[in-house]
Amino acid sequence: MLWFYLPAFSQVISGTVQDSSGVIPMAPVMLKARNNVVLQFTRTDDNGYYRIELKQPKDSLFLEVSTLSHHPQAFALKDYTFSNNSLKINVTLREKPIMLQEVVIDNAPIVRKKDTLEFNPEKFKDGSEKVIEDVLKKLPGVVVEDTGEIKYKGKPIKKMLLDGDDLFDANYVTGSRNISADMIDKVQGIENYDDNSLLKGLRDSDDTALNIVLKKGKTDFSGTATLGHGAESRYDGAVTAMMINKKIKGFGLASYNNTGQNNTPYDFMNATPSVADRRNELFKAPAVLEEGNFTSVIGDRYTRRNNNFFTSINTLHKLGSQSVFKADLSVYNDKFTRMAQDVSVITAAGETFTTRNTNDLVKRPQLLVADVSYANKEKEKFHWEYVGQLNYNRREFDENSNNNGLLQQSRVRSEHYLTINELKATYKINDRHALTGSLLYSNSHSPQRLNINPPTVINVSEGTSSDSQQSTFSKEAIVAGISYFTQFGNVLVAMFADYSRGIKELRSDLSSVLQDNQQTLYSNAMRNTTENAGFENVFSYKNERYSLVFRCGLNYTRASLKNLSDEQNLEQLFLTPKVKANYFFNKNSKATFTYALQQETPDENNLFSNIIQTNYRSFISNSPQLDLIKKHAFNLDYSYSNSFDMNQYGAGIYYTYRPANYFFETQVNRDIVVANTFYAPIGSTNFGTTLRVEEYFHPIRTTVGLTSQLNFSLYSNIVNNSELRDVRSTNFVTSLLLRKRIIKPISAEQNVSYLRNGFRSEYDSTETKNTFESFTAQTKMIIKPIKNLQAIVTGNFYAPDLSVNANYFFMDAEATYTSSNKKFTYALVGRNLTGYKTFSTVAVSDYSTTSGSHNLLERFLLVKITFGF
Amino acid sequence: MKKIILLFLVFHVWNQNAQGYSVTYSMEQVAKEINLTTTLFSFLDGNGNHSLYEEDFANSRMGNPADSNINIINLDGDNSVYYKDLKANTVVYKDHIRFKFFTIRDLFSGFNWELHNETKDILGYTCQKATCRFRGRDYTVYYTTSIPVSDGPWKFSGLPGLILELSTDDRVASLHVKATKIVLGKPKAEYKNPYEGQGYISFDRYRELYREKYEESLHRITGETGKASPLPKGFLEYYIE
Repeated sequence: MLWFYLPAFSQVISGTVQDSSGVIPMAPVMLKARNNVVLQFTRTDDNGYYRIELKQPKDSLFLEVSTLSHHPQAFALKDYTFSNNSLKINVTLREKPIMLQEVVIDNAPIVRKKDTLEFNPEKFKDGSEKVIEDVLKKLPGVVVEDTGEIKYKGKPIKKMLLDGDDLFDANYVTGSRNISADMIDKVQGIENYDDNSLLKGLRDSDDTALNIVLKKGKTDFSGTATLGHGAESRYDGAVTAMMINKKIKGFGLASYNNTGQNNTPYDFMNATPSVADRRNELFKAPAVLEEGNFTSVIGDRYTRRNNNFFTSINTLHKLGSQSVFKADLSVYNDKFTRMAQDVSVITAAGETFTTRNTNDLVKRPQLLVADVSYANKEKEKFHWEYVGQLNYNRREFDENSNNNGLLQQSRVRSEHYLTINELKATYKINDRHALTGSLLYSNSHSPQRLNINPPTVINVSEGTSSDSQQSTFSKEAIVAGISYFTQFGNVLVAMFADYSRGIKELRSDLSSVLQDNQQTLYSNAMRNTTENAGFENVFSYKNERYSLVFRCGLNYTRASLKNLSDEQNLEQLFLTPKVKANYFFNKNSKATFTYALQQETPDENNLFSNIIQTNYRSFISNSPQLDLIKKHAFNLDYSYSNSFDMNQYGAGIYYTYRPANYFFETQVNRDIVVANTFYAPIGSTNFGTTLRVEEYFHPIRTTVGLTSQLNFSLYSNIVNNSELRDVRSTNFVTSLLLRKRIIKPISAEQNVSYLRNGFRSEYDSTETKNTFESFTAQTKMIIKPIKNLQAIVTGNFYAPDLSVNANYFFMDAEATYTSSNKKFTYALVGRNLTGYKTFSTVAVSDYSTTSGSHNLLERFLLVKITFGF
Repeated sequence: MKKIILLFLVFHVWNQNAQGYSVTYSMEQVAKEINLTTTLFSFLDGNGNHSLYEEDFANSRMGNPADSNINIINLDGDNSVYYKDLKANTVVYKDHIRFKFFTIRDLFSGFNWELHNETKDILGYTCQKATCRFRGRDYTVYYTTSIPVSDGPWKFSGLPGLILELSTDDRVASLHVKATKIVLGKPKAEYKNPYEGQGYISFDRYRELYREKYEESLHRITGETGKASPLPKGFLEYYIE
C-alpha cells in the first residue's frame, strides 16, 4: 500500500446505495486505482449507507459499487469536488437478469487424489522418524503403548498388514519397530476389519487394522543386534533381521538369555498355554505326569532361572497376483532350575499332621514348531486356503526330593507330537450372501515316562511300592463344517453346520521292579470316541442404541467310553443358547449382558479309571461317567470411557453354575496323596464382581487408578473318607495405582495391592478356615535428566504373608542411553540389587496350609548394547 | 485450459433476491508435525447473506466409490460444515477437543484485510491479492471483484469480492485452497443453518476449554515411561500463544 500524503483533515466520501426496490445493504463499495486495483473498500450498512475515508489523492481513484445481482457502477473521483472535506455520492444500481447457470470450470484441477490417509515419505529424512512406530505415534487418534501395542481410538488393532499381507499375525510390534520409514508409500486405516475379506460386512466385527502400503520396486533389509554380558556369567543377546519387498517378506529372530526373560510365545515354566495354543488345546494330547512346580507368586521376573535359546523365521511369498505362501519355523531350547522346600499342615477328617518336602528341580524343554500355509485369492469371489502345522517338543525333567526324610530321585521323559491340517474355502455369492467350508484333521501323541528311585511306598501293610509309570495319551480328530452368512439391513444372520469325530486314547502302566520282578500294579486302556453333529443359527442386530446377538445350537452327540472291560455309552440331543446384548447409553458408556449355556463331554483327564502316579508323592484316578457337563454363565458389565475428561470406569458381575460336575475325593497322609475324581449331580457355583476406575485429578496432577476383584467359589469334596462336605473359597484382590510427575525430569508410579484368599469347609460340625493375606507395594521412578538418557528405578515391597513379619524389598534399576542418530542404545541393567536368594510365602487350600520357600534368580548387573543395521 | 459455458439466459426481472453462487474448491492441507497431507474438495454455497462451506472429508459429494476392500477411517467424523451469516459476521460450526464435539458460534468484528496491488488470473477472473493475520497465522488470498460477494472458504469473508484462492504456511501446518469450478445463478430457496436447535458455545468459551485441557495434558503422565502427551497449541487457529 502506498501512502502519498496524510491530509490535514481526512476526506470522506459517503452516500446511499439503492435500486428500484429500495436500499441495498451489504453492498461492496470500493476505491480503485486506474488499473482496476482495489485500494480501499467498505460495504453499505442495513440502511444502504456507506462511508469511506480517503487515503490516496482522489484524482487517481474510481468509486465502484457492485453486487452479485446488479450491474456495477463506477465514478471517477476527478469529476467530483469535496466541500468541507466531504463528498456525497448516492448510487442507484440496475438489477442484473439472473442467469440460470453460468458455469466456469477449470479442466485441470490441481489435485485429483483419492481420499486416503496419506503421508509423504520424502519428508522423513530428518532422521527423527526412522521406523513406522515413530510415525504412527503422532497420528491423531492413534496411541502406541510402551509395549508397542497400537490402539486406535482406545481399541487395540487386530493386525498390522504389509501390502494387505499378514506376515506378523499378533506379533506386529516386530514390524512396527523395525521396518524403515523409507519403505512406506501409504498408511491406511481399516474399520470393521475381518480376516476373511470376502466376509466383510457379513460378520459382526468391531475390529480395526492398519495396512502399510509399501513402495514398489524397493527392498528393505534391516535388523537389530543386542549383546549383553554381566556378572556372574549372565548373557543376553538377540539378533533380528527383516527383509521386505513386494514379493517376499521375511523376518527372523535368534536370541539367547539366562537373565530370566521370556520373549518367546511359549511358556514351559508355568505351563500356561500361549494365545495360539489355546485353540490347539482342543487337539493336543495332554501330558498327565507332572514336571515340577516352577510357578511363584512374585512372578517370573525374580524367579525364572533359565538358559533360553530361541530362534524363529517367518516368511511370506507372494505367488500369482493374489496368492500367498507362508512358512514359519521356530526352535526353542531351555533349562530351568529351582530349589524349593515346604512344610504343609494338613487338617483332614478331624486329624492334623505335618509333612515336609525339599526339592531340587531341573527341567529341559526342547521345541520345534513348523507351520505352512497357502492361500489362493486369485478369483475375486472364491478364496481357498490350506494350513498345516507341526509341533514337536521333548522335555527332560529331573528331581531330587526329600519327602519327610526319604530321599528319592525322579526322572520324567516326555515327548509331544501334534499335527493339524486344515483346508478352508470361501465363496462370495454376492454382497449379501457368502458360503464357507472347512475340513480339519489333527493327530497328537504325548508319551511320558516317570522313574523313581527308590520306589514310593503306596501301601505299608501290603508292602506295595511303585517306581515306574508310563503314560501315552493320543488324540485324533476330524472336523468338517459349512457356514452360510447373509445380511438383511441391520441384521446379520449366520448358519453353521458341522460334524466332528474324535478319538482319545490313554495307555498307562504303573509298575514296580521288586527284586528284579516287574509287577504291574495299575493299568489303563482307555478309549473314548465322540461323534458330534451340530447346527447353529446366529442373529445379530445393531443400531445406535443397542445391539443384540442371539445364537442357538442344536447338537447331537454320540460317545462311547471303554476302560479295560468297562463300557459306557452316551447319546444325546441338546441345545446351546447364547445371548449377548449391548445397550449404548451414549457415545461414552455402555452396558453388556451375556448368557451362555454350554454342554460338553467331560475333560479327557477325568475319563480314565485306574491310578496314575504323577510324581514321587502324588497319584490320580477317576470314577468316570460319560455324561454331559452343563454350565450356565451370566455376565453383566458396565463401562464408561471419556477421552475428553480422561477418565474411565467399569464394573461387572458374573455368575456361573454347574448342576453336576466332577469333584475330588482325596486320600492324604504324611507321605502320599491320592486324588480321585468322581461325578455327582451336585451344584457348584462361581460368582464375583470386578471394579475398575481411572481418573486424572488436575489439582494434584495425579492419575489415579483402582481395580478390585472379589471372587467366590462354592463346591464340594471329600477328604480322607469324610462325608461330602461343602467348601467355600473366597479371593479378594484390590490395587491402587498413582501416577504423577514430581519435577520435570522425574515421574513416579506407585502401585499398592492387597490380596486375601480364604477357604472355609465343614466336617462333623467343625468349621475349618484357612486364610492368608499379602500386600505388595511397588514404586517406579522414571528419570530423564537429558534428552537421550533415561533411568528407571523400581522398588518392590512384598509382605507375602501378613500373619508373619517376613518382608522383602526388591530393587531393580535400568539406565539407557540412545545415541543421537538412534542407531545405538547402551543400557546398564541391575536386577534384584538387594540380593535376596530365597523367597518364602504361604499357600492355602481347603484342607491345608503350606509355608514354602524357593530360590531366586541371583542378583546381577548387565551391560547391554543394541545397534540397528 | 479453461472452458466457459453459458447454459441458459433468462431475461427475467427478478426482485431483490440476490443471486446464488456455488464454488468448488480443491484443498490441500499438510499437518507438518506428523507429515500428513490431506487432499479433498470443498464446496461453498451461498446467496451473499448466508452461506454454507463444506469440507468433503467423506468424499461423498464427488461421487467417487469407496474402495470395496478397505474403508478409510474418517478421523474427522462427518464433513466439517461452516454456516456463515455474512451480515452479522458469525460462523457456526463444529469442532472437537479430544473427540468431544462442540457447536461453536464464532462472532468476530471482521478481518483486518491489507490490500495489495498484485493481481492474477483464476478461472478467467482477475483476482487481487489481500493478506491478513488471523488468530496467530498469516493468510494470503486472491479475491475477484467481478463476483462482488463478501465470502470465501472456511471462515473468511469481508472483502469486496469472492475469495478464489487462499494459502497459509508455517511450521505447524500449511493450507492451500483454490477454486476449480464456479456456478452462478438462481439461489437455493434458503440456506439453512444445519446446527439450528443445538446449543452453541462461543469461540472464547471453546478456547477457554481448550486451554484447560491443554494445561491438564501438560501434567498428566500417560505411559509407563513417564511421558505426558500435551495437546497441540492449535492448528489453523492457535489457542495457546
